Amino acid sequence: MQPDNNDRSVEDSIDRRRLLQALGAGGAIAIAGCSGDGGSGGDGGDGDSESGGDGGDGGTQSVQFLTMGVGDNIKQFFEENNTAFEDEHDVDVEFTSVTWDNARQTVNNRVDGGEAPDVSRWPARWIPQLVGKDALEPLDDMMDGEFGEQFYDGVAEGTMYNGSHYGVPWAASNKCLYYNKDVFETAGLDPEDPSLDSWQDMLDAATQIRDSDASVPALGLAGADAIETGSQYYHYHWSHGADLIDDEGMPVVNSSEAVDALSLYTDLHLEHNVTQSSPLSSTRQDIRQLFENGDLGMVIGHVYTGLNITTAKENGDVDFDYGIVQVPRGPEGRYSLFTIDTLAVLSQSEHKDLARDLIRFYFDEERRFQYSKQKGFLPVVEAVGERSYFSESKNWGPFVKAGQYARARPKLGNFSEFNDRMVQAIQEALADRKSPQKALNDAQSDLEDAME
Amino acid sequence: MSLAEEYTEASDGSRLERGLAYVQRNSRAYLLIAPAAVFLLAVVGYPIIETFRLSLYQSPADSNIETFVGLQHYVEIFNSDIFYRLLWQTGRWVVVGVAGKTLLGLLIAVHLKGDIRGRKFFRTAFLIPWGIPYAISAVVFRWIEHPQFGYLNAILLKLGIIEQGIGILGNPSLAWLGVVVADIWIGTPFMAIIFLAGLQSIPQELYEAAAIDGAEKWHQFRYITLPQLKSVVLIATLLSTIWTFVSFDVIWTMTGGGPISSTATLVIHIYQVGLQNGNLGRGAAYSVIGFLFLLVFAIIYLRIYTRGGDEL
Amino acid sequence: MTMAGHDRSGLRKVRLYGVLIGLLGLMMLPFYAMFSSTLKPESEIFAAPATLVPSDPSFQAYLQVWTQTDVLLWVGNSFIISVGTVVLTLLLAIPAAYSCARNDFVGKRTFLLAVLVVQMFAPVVLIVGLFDVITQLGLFNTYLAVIVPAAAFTLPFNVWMLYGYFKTIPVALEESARIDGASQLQILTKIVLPLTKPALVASITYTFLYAWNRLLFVLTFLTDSAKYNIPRGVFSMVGALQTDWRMMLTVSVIGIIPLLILFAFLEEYIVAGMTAGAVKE
Repeated sequence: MQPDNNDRSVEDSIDRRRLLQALGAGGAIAIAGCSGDGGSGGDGGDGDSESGGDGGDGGTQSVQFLTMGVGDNIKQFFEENNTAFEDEHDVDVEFTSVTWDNARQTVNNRVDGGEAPDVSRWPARWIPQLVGKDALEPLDDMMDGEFGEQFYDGVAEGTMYNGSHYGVPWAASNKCLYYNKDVFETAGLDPEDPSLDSWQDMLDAATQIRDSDASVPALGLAGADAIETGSQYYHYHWSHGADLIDDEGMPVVNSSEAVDALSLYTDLHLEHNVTQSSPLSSTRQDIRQLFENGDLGMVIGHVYTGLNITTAKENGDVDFDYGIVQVPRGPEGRYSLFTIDTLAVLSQSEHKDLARDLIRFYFDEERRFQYSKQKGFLPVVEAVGERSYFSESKNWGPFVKAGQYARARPKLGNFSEFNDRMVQAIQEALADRKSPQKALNDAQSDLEDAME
Repeated sequence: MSLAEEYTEASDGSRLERGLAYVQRNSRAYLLIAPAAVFLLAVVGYPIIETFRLSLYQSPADSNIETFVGLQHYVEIFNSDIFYRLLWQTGRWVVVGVAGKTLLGLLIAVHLKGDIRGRKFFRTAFLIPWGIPYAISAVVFRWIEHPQFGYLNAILLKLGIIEQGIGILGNPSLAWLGVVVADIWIGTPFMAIIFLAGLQSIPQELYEAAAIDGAEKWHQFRYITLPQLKSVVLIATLLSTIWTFVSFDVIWTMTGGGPISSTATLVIHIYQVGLQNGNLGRGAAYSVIGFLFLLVFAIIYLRIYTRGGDEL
Repeated sequence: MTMAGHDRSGLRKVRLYGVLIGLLGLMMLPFYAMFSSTLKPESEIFAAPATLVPSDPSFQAYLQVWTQTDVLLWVGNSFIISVGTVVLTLLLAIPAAYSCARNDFVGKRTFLLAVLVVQMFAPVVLIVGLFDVITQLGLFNTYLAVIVPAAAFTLPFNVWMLYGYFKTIPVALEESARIDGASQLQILTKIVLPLTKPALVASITYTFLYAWNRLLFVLTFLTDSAKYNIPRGVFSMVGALQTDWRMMLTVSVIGIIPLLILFAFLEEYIVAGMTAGAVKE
């Protein structure tokens, strides 16, 4: 074999990886609506691919800033601030925005092709793969210092991988429990003080709704073969004290706490009959949609559900009142599934200091506030979250408060495979094909095999 | 076979010379198939060979290193329970799907054959399902069968047949039927148009003669239409079997292979293992197995056909 | 035709139309679900249970779709891709099929079987290797990146189908032309092809629609949104959290209209082809 050939084959397989990742994203697209607990909040399809800012040459330094899903609502924000940064530092900002469906491929193409940007934004779950390529610069110098203190704790944790911070939190999305006040009223529950603190409280309320005149199902339960079925269930899992992997990264999904959690999840349907019919065919999107139509008593959702209902009410499409409380507490605590986007500095960058300056610039508190407000993203910076625009808002308030319960999915290179197996276990239990114990035991042994 | 005789009888000289002489004599025939052959080799030759090669390698998602593992993937696949379950699920998916498409297609074609009023309207309308992107049709079917928002449940509720929405796609025993229906719907227009084209090439005199003999409609169909359609039906069902076997969009969009993998076929599993989970080698080994199944099937199918005296 | 009395033929007609209308109704139900949803406001699309008839039908979506999406661009691209695929496929398939139907040569069976082999791998499986081929040929992000693989996957059907039809055409017709000194190519274009119009219509329809509906190749080999076809355009409207279903379905319905026109147009050809066949007898 010629050395030449070897090089080629490495090159080929890099191409192939790139393609795989693109297809992974494509697979999500193909599910069409059953998918996409996207990187952060709701910017899946918005915005066109567009290259802004003037990349004029001249003798000045330039910094390349890559981001995704910049829609009309936020374009101006970036244009103005990039210009301000250019003036302040006498440099050029080459700003590129790509659509989400092309994002992963673009990033991998540029990193593999030696044309990585200096600063880029992406979902934190991409970090393991990019660290695997040595593509990212650790930002512990920033995150361990004064700069890092501005973030909510759980949020800052979200950029940690292998003991280092490989990014700065940029935007976030998390979960709360929504309830339909009209339904609660009909069922004789107090709509203003629903007392939904624990899972047991939630079940009691649901039972009362089931037995009342309310004509809608009490609780939305996701059970379809889609990634978010896992995301919905993990709230139950974690709050019972169960974990997904241990410190060594080995699966620990069948602890007795986990069995309790899954038993509760499945009993809501099988035993108590308080869910919508046929949860095995319902994705998270489906139950969210039901709630937004006023056809459901309670659902775990993110801030967009409230914003959607508010818009629909203004348009006169729906007419009901809703409330938002924290995701119920389990025996071992309360968690709100958090996904974040990060801003990273790439190791290929030749302007790492300038890149850090750009990040600091964008984390000016007023800029963060404007961004979160215009984009409709949950603030990641505590001082922004405390501003009354968010903390006193009916829709935003509870989610800002939920920042303290933040918990991210474990960062595993093969998390999607892991999650698929968990979803299968959830389905087996929900379909009453296996007991929760057996379903989780089988998942555990399969996952152990897969992790080797 | 004349061509074999021709080949061996060729005048003396080396094998090569004889071969060349043969090719030269038939150069026109070879020249005409050359563009298609070269094109296919260039475009899909490499991907197919690459699939065979990869099936002998371990190629994990998080590194660029490939390790030669020989037949290990094949051994592991044949020793796994999931493989046999996938075979069964693929088998019922193909048999029911192809049968449904063939029968419905034939039914439509036979009724559209004559000189009927509004023929253009009917023919065009029947093609509509084919004009919708598969993934969209699948989304629509998923929706129709949806326990809460679906039209099917709305109709059943209205008729008082059910009291609560039923979720076909969420039922591990029924979901595959819910998906097969969509696949049949999508695949029927193709069958109909192929059969229609076949029906039109049957000489009208055959029917006229039969009508004079007083043959019943059914007899005409059985003894004239079907035999005349034989080669068209053969090719259409063979291709349909292959296509249904390797189809991906509909299942993936409607159920993603679930619930509990009950709608997964070999191809769905290949996608999950090879592309989603990044185990390219294992996925390739499954592909090769699937390919061998289809190849053996095609050869047997064609042999049964040629035994009847028809040449390929 | 012999007439078996008015009553019987009348009854037959009723039965014929009954079956046709019943079948059509069955086939149209999903399309109805799709179309009626485009007439509903977004909130009604997700009503539970579904409203079978839109409570307040509105064609608003069909006015908005032109400005809110790039539907015209997508339709145009779909046309380019489909026409390109049809031309490329037929240029390759017709000579090959004709050669197999008219000549007996060593390797014919192998060729026909090898052509089928292409279909025995799911495109999703071969896509990884195809990616290498497309990039090596420098086709990435061009229309050909979709046309070339689509032609490769439609070729087997076309070769087989046309081969089957060519065989049914009497050789005697060609013999006389040959005696007149026509070349095989002339015989093919002047005599054989006109006689195979119904088959060609089937071939063109199949190939055109294959390329029209295909998402995978566009998804993988075209990242330039200016070259998106209809399915790709539709799926670019699927958001992580927000999907405008009404617009999505409206685009899908609009995507069918050019096809209906095309079908109606091709239908003329089927009739013309049959008449040509009748004349020859």
